[in-house]
Amino acid sequence: MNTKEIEELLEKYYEGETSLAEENSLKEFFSGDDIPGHLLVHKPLFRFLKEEATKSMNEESQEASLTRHIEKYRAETSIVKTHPGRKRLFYLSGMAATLLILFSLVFVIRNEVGRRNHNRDVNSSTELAYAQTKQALLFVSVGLNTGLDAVRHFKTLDNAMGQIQKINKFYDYQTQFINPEWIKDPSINK
Amino acid sequence: MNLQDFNTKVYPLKDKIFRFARRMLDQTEEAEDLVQEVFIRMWKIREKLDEYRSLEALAMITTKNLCLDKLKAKKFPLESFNDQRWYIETIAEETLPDHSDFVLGVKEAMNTLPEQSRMIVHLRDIEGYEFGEIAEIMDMQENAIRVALSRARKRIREILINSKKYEYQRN
Repeated sequence: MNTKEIEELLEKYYEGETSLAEENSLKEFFSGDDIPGHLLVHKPLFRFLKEEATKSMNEESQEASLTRHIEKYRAETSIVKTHPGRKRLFYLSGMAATLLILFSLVFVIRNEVGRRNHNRDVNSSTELAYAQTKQALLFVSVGLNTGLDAVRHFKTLDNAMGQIQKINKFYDYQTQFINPEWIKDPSINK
Repeated sequence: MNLQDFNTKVYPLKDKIFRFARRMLDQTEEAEDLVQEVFIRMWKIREKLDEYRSLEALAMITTKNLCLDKLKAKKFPLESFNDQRWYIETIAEETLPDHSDFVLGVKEAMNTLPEQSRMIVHLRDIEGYEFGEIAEIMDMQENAIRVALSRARKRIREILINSKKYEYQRN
Protein backbone atom coordinates (compact mmCIF):
# COMPACT_ATOMS: atom_id res chain seq x y z
CA MET A 1 0.00 0.00 0.00
CA ASN A 2 1.52 3.31 -1.01
CA THR A 3 1.79 6.49 1.00
CA LYS A 4 -0.95 8.31 -0.89
CA GLU A 5 -3.49 5.58 -0.19
CA ILE A 6 -2.57 5.63 3.50
CA GLU A 7 -3.04 9.41 3.61
CA GLU A 8 -6.47 9.06 2.06
CA LEU A 9 -7.41 6.30 4.49
CA LEU A 10 -6.25 8.40 7.41
CA GLU A 11 -8.43 11.26 6.21
CA LYS A 12 -11.42 8.89 6.04
CA TYR A 13 -10.52 7.38 9.40
CA TYR A 14 -10.70 10.71 11.20
CA GLU A 15 -14.04 11.44 9.58
CA GLY A 16 -15.37 8.14 10.88
CA GLU A 17 -15.97 6.78 7.37
CA THR A 18 -13.57 3.85 7.17
CA SER A 19 -14.75 0.27 7.17
CA LEU A 20 -13.40 -2.30 9.61
CA ALA A 21 -11.26 -3.80 6.83
CA GLU A 22 -9.75 -0.40 6.05
CA GLU A 23 -9.04 0.23 9.69
CA ASN A 24 -7.31 -3.14 9.91
CA SER A 25 -5.08 -2.31 6.95
CA LEU A 26 -4.15 0.97 8.69
CA LYS A 27 -3.21 -0.98 11.80
CA GLU A 28 -1.18 -3.40 9.67
CA PHE A 29 0.62 -0.55 7.91
CA PHE A 30 1.62 1.21 11.13
CA SER A 31 2.83 -1.97 12.80
CA GLY A 32 5.43 -2.29 10.00
CA ASP A 33 8.77 -0.47 9.99
CA ASP A 34 8.48 1.25 6.64
CA ILE A 35 6.70 4.44 7.70
CA PRO A 36 7.40 7.82 6.06
CA GLY A 37 8.51 10.54 8.50
CA HIS A 38 5.42 12.75 8.23
CA LEU A 39 3.12 9.86 9.14
CA LEU A 40 5.08 8.81 12.23
CA VAL A 41 2.78 10.93 14.40
CA HIS A 42 0.01 8.36 13.87
CA LYS A 43 2.18 5.34 14.64
CA PRO A 44 1.68 5.16 18.44
CA LEU A 45 -2.10 5.36 18.07
CA PHE A 46 -2.50 2.44 15.67
CA ARG A 47 0.09 0.32 17.46
CA PHE A 48 -1.76 0.93 20.71
CA LEU A 49 -5.13 0.05 19.19
CA LYS A 50 -3.75 -3.18 17.77
CA GLU A 51 -1.95 -4.21 20.95
CA GLU A 52 -4.86 -3.43 23.23
CA ALA A 53 -7.09 -5.90 21.39
CA THR A 54 -4.75 -8.76 22.32
CA LYS A 55 -4.70 -8.02 26.05
CA SER A 56 -6.38 -10.75 28.04
CA MET A 57 -7.31 -11.26 31.62
CA ASN A 58 -4.64 -12.76 33.82
CA GLU A 59 -5.65 -16.30 34.87
CA GLU A 60 -4.15 -15.92 38.34
CA SER A 61 -5.81 -12.63 39.13
CA GLN A 62 -9.01 -14.07 37.72
CA GLU A 63 -8.91 -16.81 40.34
CA ALA A 64 -8.16 -14.26 43.04
CA SER A 65 -11.11 -12.20 41.92
CA LEU A 66 -13.34 -15.27 41.90
CA THR A 67 -12.23 -16.12 45.45
CA ARG A 68 -13.05 -12.57 46.54
CA HIS A 69 -16.49 -12.97 45.05
CA ILE A 70 -17.09 -16.35 46.67
CA GLU A 71 -15.99 -14.97 50.05
CA LYS A 72 -18.37 -12.05 49.61
CA TYR A 73 -21.17 -14.42 48.63
CA ARG A 74 -20.46 -16.66 51.65
CA ALA A 75 -20.48 -13.68 53.99
CA GLU A 76 -23.86 -12.67 52.60
CA THR A 77 -25.38 -16.15 52.83
CA SER A 78 -24.07 -16.80 56.34
CA ILE A 79 -26.06 -13.80 57.52
CA VAL A 80 -29.16 -15.25 55.88
CA LYS A 81 -28.55 -18.63 57.55
CA THR A 82 -28.63 -17.26 61.09
CA HIS A 83 -31.87 -15.48 60.32
CA PRO A 84 -34.47 -18.32 60.81
CA GLY A 85 -32.94 -19.28 64.20
CA ARG A 86 -33.31 -15.73 65.39
CA LYS A 87 -36.88 -15.61 64.16
CA ARG A 88 -37.78 -18.80 66.05
CA LEU A 89 -36.22 -17.39 69.23
CA PHE A 90 -38.27 -14.23 68.75
CA TYR A 91 -41.55 -16.17 68.49
CA LEU A 92 -40.62 -18.44 71.41
CA SER A 93 -39.90 -15.50 73.69
CA GLY A 94 -43.19 -13.94 72.65
CA MET A 95 -45.06 -17.13 73.54
CA ALA A 96 -43.22 -17.37 76.88
CA ALA A 97 -44.13 -13.78 77.74
CA THR A 98 -47.80 -14.41 76.93
CA LEU A 99 -47.87 -17.53 79.10
CA LEU A 100 -46.21 -15.67 81.97
CA ILE A 101 -48.80 -12.90 81.82
CA LEU A 102 -51.66 -15.42 81.68
CA PHE A 103 -50.40 -17.42 84.69
CA SER A 104 -49.72 -14.35 86.80
CA LEU A 105 -53.21 -13.03 85.97
CA VAL A 106 -54.80 -16.31 87.08
CA PHE A 107 -52.74 -16.29 90.27
CA VAL A 108 -53.68 -12.68 91.16
CA ILE A 109 -57.41 -13.24 90.47
CA ARG A 110 -57.50 -16.42 92.56
CA ASN A 111 -55.77 -14.67 95.45
CA GLU A 112 -58.17 -11.71 95.30
CA VAL A 113 -61.24 -13.94 95.26
CA GLY A 114 -59.91 -15.96 98.22
CA ARG A 115 -59.30 -12.80 100.27
CA ARG A 116 -62.82 -11.46 99.62
CA ASN A 117 -64.38 -14.74 100.68
CA HIS A 118 -62.36 -14.61 103.92
CA ASN A 119 -63.56 -11.04 104.69
CA ARG A 120 -67.15 -12.02 104.07
CA ASP A 121 -66.86 -14.77 106.74
CA VAL A 122 -65.75 -12.22 109.37
CA ASN A 123 -68.61 -9.82 108.59
CA SER A 124 -71.20 -12.57 108.73
CA SER A 125 -70.50 -13.36 112.39
CA THR A 126 -71.66 -10.16 114.11
CA GLU A 127 -70.49 -11.16 117.57
CA LEU A 128 -66.96 -11.70 116.46
CA ALA A 129 -67.00 -8.34 114.71
CA TYR A 130 -68.33 -6.64 117.83
CA ALA A 131 -65.66 -8.24 120.02
CA GLN A 132 -62.96 -7.25 117.60
CA THR A 133 -64.15 -3.64 117.39
CA LYS A 134 -64.39 -3.45 121.16
CA GLN A 135 -60.89 -4.74 121.54
CA ALA A 136 -59.59 -2.18 119.01
CA LEU A 137 -61.38 0.74 120.75
CA LEU A 138 -60.05 -0.42 124.11
CA PHE A 139 -56.53 -0.44 122.74
CA VAL A 140 -56.96 3.14 121.48
CA SER A 141 -58.39 4.25 124.84
CA VAL A 142 -55.45 2.85 126.86
CA GLY A 143 -53.01 4.50 124.51
CA LEU A 144 -54.78 7.84 124.80
CA ASN A 145 -54.62 7.76 128.62
CA THR A 146 -50.86 7.22 128.62
CA GLY A 147 -50.55 10.12 126.20
CA LEU A 148 -52.58 12.42 128.45
CA ASP A 149 -50.24 11.81 131.44
CA ALA A 150 -47.45 13.44 129.47
CA VAL A 151 -49.65 16.38 128.42
CA ARG A 152 -50.21 17.32 132.13
CA HIS A 153 -46.75 18.97 132.21
CA PHE A 154 -48.04 21.62 129.83
CA LYS A 155 -49.95 23.20 132.72
CA THR A 156 -46.66 24.31 134.36
CA LEU A 157 -45.54 25.83 131.08
CA ASP A 158 -48.84 27.69 130.88
CA ASN A 159 -48.32 29.25 134.33
CA ALA A 160 -44.84 30.41 133.33
CA MET A 161 -46.23 31.94 130.16
CA GLY A 162 -48.66 33.99 132.35
CA GLN A 163 -45.70 35.50 134.20
CA ILE A 164 -44.03 36.49 130.95
CA GLN A 165 -47.25 38.13 129.84
CA LYS A 166 -46.93 40.58 132.74
CA ILE A 167 -43.47 41.66 131.61
CA ASN A 168 -44.83 42.34 128.14
CA LYS A 169 -47.52 44.58 129.58
CA PHE A 170 -44.84 46.54 131.48
CA TYR A 171 -42.97 47.17 128.16
CA ASP A 172 -46.10 48.48 126.49
CA TYR A 173 -46.73 50.86 129.42
CA GLN A 174 -43.13 52.12 129.29
CA THR A 175 -43.27 53.03 125.57
CA GLN A 176 -46.11 55.42 126.27
CA PHE A 177 -43.67 57.72 128.15
CA ILE A 178 -40.41 57.20 126.23
CA ASN A 179 -40.13 58.77 122.74
CA PRO A 180 -38.29 56.23 120.53
CA GLU A 181 -36.70 59.17 118.61
CA TRP A 182 -34.44 59.86 121.60
CA ILE A 183 -32.81 56.51 121.31
CA LYS A 184 -32.34 56.79 117.55
CA ASP A 185 -30.85 60.35 117.40
CA PRO A 186 -27.47 60.67 119.18
CA SER A 187 -27.43 64.57 118.99
CA ILE A 188 -30.14 64.86 121.67
CA ASN A 189 -27.82 63.32 124.30
CA LYS A 190 -25.34 66.09 123.64
CA MET B 1 -28.82 -22.87 29.38
CA ASN B 2 -26.71 -25.27 31.44
CA LEU B 3 -23.20 -24.86 32.80
CA GLN B 4 -21.61 -26.40 29.72
CA ASP B 5 -23.37 -24.00 27.36
CA PHE B 6 -22.48 -21.16 29.65
CA ASN B 7 -18.82 -22.16 29.58
CA THR B 8 -18.69 -22.35 25.81
CA LYS B 9 -20.86 -19.37 24.92
CA VAL B 10 -20.50 -16.80 27.68
CA TYR B 11 -17.16 -17.52 29.33
CA PRO B 12 -15.00 -16.83 26.22
CA LEU B 13 -16.25 -13.23 26.32
CA LYS B 14 -14.21 -12.62 29.47
CA ASP B 15 -11.33 -10.85 27.73
CA LYS B 16 -13.61 -8.52 25.81
CA ILE B 17 -15.50 -7.67 29.00
CA PHE B 18 -12.23 -7.23 30.86
CA ARG B 19 -10.74 -4.88 28.25
CA PHE B 20 -13.92 -2.82 28.10
CA ALA B 21 -14.14 -2.56 31.90
CA ARG B 22 -10.48 -1.64 32.25
CA ARG B 23 -10.79 1.01 29.58
CA MET B 24 -13.60 2.63 31.55
CA LEU B 25 -12.40 2.12 35.14
CA ASP B 26 -8.66 2.46 34.42
CA GLN B 27 -7.91 -0.08 37.16
CA THR B 28 -7.05 -3.72 36.57
CA GLU B 29 -8.35 -5.13 39.85
CA GLU B 30 -11.69 -3.37 39.64
CA ALA B 31 -12.05 -4.52 36.04
CA GLU B 32 -11.39 -8.15 37.09
CA ASP B 33 -14.09 -7.91 39.76
CA LEU B 34 -16.46 -6.40 37.25
CA VAL B 35 -15.95 -9.36 34.90
CA GLN B 36 -17.11 -11.69 37.69
CA GLU B 37 -20.04 -9.40 38.37
CA VAL B 38 -21.10 -9.56 34.71
CA PHE B 39 -20.84 -13.37 34.73
CA ILE B 40 -22.92 -13.56 37.91
CA ARG B 41 -25.62 -11.39 36.35
CA MET B 42 -25.64 -13.50 33.20
CA TRP B 43 -25.73 -16.73 35.23
CA LYS B 44 -28.68 -15.50 37.23
CA ILE B 45 -30.74 -15.12 34.04
CA ARG B 46 -29.35 -18.30 32.41
CA GLU B 47 -32.87 -19.61 31.81
CA LYS B 48 -33.67 -16.62 29.60
CA LEU B 49 -30.31 -16.34 27.82
CA ASP B 50 -31.51 -18.32 24.80
CA GLU B 51 -34.08 -15.63 24.07
CA TYR B 52 -31.38 -13.02 23.41
CA ARG B 53 -30.28 -12.54 19.84
CA SER B 54 -26.68 -11.78 20.75
CA LEU B 55 -25.12 -12.86 24.03
CA GLU B 56 -22.08 -10.75 23.24
CA ALA B 57 -24.17 -7.58 22.95
CA LEU B 58 -25.94 -8.46 26.20
CA ALA B 59 -22.61 -8.97 27.96
CA MET B 60 -21.26 -5.67 26.64
CA ILE B 61 -24.43 -3.79 27.61
CA THR B 62 -24.22 -5.26 31.13
CA THR B 63 -20.55 -4.27 31.32
CA LYS B 64 -21.35 -0.76 30.12
CA ASN B 65 -24.09 -0.29 32.72
CA LEU B 66 -22.03 -1.69 35.59
CA CYS B 67 -19.10 0.53 34.62
CA LEU B 68 -21.31 3.61 34.49
CA ASP B 69 -22.73 2.73 37.93
CA LYS B 70 -19.23 2.33 39.34
CA LEU B 71 -18.06 5.61 37.82
CA LYS B 72 -21.11 7.42 39.13
CA ALA B 73 -20.49 6.10 42.64
CA LYS B 74 -16.91 7.31 42.42
CA LYS B 75 -17.96 10.86 41.75
CA PHE B 76 -19.16 11.29 45.34
CA PRO B 77 -16.41 13.19 47.15
CA LEU B 78 -16.48 11.00 50.27
CA GLU B 79 -15.86 7.85 48.35
CA SER B 80 -13.22 9.30 46.07
CA PHE B 81 -11.53 10.64 49.16
CA ASN B 82 -10.86 7.11 50.36
CA ASP B 83 -10.14 5.92 46.90
CA GLN B 84 -6.79 4.41 46.28
CA ARG B 85 -6.59 6.12 42.95
CA TRP B 86 -7.07 9.50 44.51
CA TYR B 87 -4.28 8.68 46.91
CA ILE B 88 -1.91 7.64 44.15
CA GLU B 89 -2.72 10.76 42.18
CA THR B 90 -1.96 13.01 45.13
CA ILE B 91 1.29 11.19 45.79
CA ALA B 92 2.22 11.55 42.13
CA GLU B 93 1.50 15.27 42.24
CA GLU B 94 3.53 15.73 45.38
CA THR B 95 6.55 13.75 44.26
CA LEU B 96 6.51 15.04 40.69
CA PRO B 97 6.31 18.82 40.96
CA ASP B 98 7.13 19.20 37.28
CA HIS B 99 3.92 17.47 36.29
CA SER B 100 3.80 18.99 32.81
CA ASP B 101 6.96 17.07 31.99
CA PHE B 102 4.82 13.99 31.56
CA VAL B 103 4.03 13.43 27.89
CA LEU B 104 0.58 12.02 27.31
CA GLY B 105 0.43 8.58 25.74
CA VAL B 106 -2.44 7.15 23.71
CA LYS B 107 -3.99 5.57 26.79
CA GLU B 108 -3.96 8.83 28.70
CA ALA B 109 -5.31 10.65 25.66
CA MET B 110 -8.21 8.20 25.55
CA ASN B 111 -8.82 8.67 29.26
CA THR B 112 -9.40 12.36 28.71
CA LEU B 113 -12.42 11.55 26.52
CA PRO B 114 -15.91 11.66 28.02
CA GLU B 115 -17.28 8.25 29.05
CA GLN B 116 -19.53 7.81 26.03
CA SER B 117 -16.87 8.69 23.44
CA ARG B 118 -14.33 6.52 25.19
CA MET B 119 -16.72 3.58 24.99
CA ILE B 120 -17.39 4.14 21.30
CA VAL B 121 -13.68 4.43 20.40
CA HIS B 122 -12.91 1.30 22.40
CA LEU B 123 -15.71 -0.74 20.83
CA ARG B 124 -14.81 0.31 17.32
CA ASP B 125 -11.05 0.78 17.20
CA ILE B 126 -9.96 -1.87 19.67
CA GLU B 127 -12.70 -4.50 19.60
CA GLY B 128 -13.62 -3.89 15.95
CA TYR B 129 -17.41 -3.93 16.22
CA GLU B 130 -19.66 -2.92 13.31
CA PHE B 131 -21.60 0.32 13.69
CA GLY B 132 -24.84 -1.62 14.03
CA GLU B 133 -23.47 -3.60 16.98
CA ILE B 134 -22.14 -0.46 18.67
CA ALA B 135 -25.50 1.22 18.18
CA GLU B 136 -27.16 -1.70 19.96
CA ILE B 137 -24.69 -1.69 22.84
CA MET B 138 -24.74 2.07 23.30
CA ASP B 139 -28.47 2.38 22.64
CA MET B 140 -27.84 5.15 20.11
CA GLN B 141 -28.47 5.86 16.42
CA GLU B 142 -25.73 4.73 14.01
CA ASN B 143 -25.30 8.25 12.68
CA ALA B 144 -24.80 9.69 16.14
CA ILE B 145 -22.14 7.05 16.73
CA ARG B 146 -20.29 7.97 13.54
CA VAL B 147 -20.28 11.64 14.54
CA ALA B 148 -19.11 10.90 18.10
CA LEU B 149 -16.44 8.52 16.82
CA SER B 150 -15.04 11.03 14.36
CA ARG B 151 -14.99 13.73 16.99
CA ALA B 152 -13.26 11.47 19.51
CA ARG B 153 -10.63 10.30 16.99
CA LYS B 154 -9.82 13.90 16.09
CA ARG B 155 -9.56 14.79 19.77
CA ILE B 156 -7.06 11.97 20.34
CA ARG B 157 -5.06 13.10 17.31
CA GLU B 158 -5.00 16.65 18.61
CA ILE B 159 -3.72 15.59 22.04
CA LEU B 160 -1.07 13.30 20.57
CA ILE B 161 0.20 15.92 18.10
CA ASN B 162 0.33 18.56 20.84
CA SER B 163 2.27 16.33 23.23
CA LYS B 164 4.57 15.36 20.36
CA LYS B 165 5.25 19.03 19.66
CA TYR B 166 5.94 19.55 23.31
CA GLU B 167 8.39 16.67 23.31
CA TYR B 168 10.24 18.15 20.33
CA GLN B 169 10.41 21.57 21.93
CA ARG B 170 11.98 20.13 25.04
CA ASN B 171 14.62 18.12 23.17
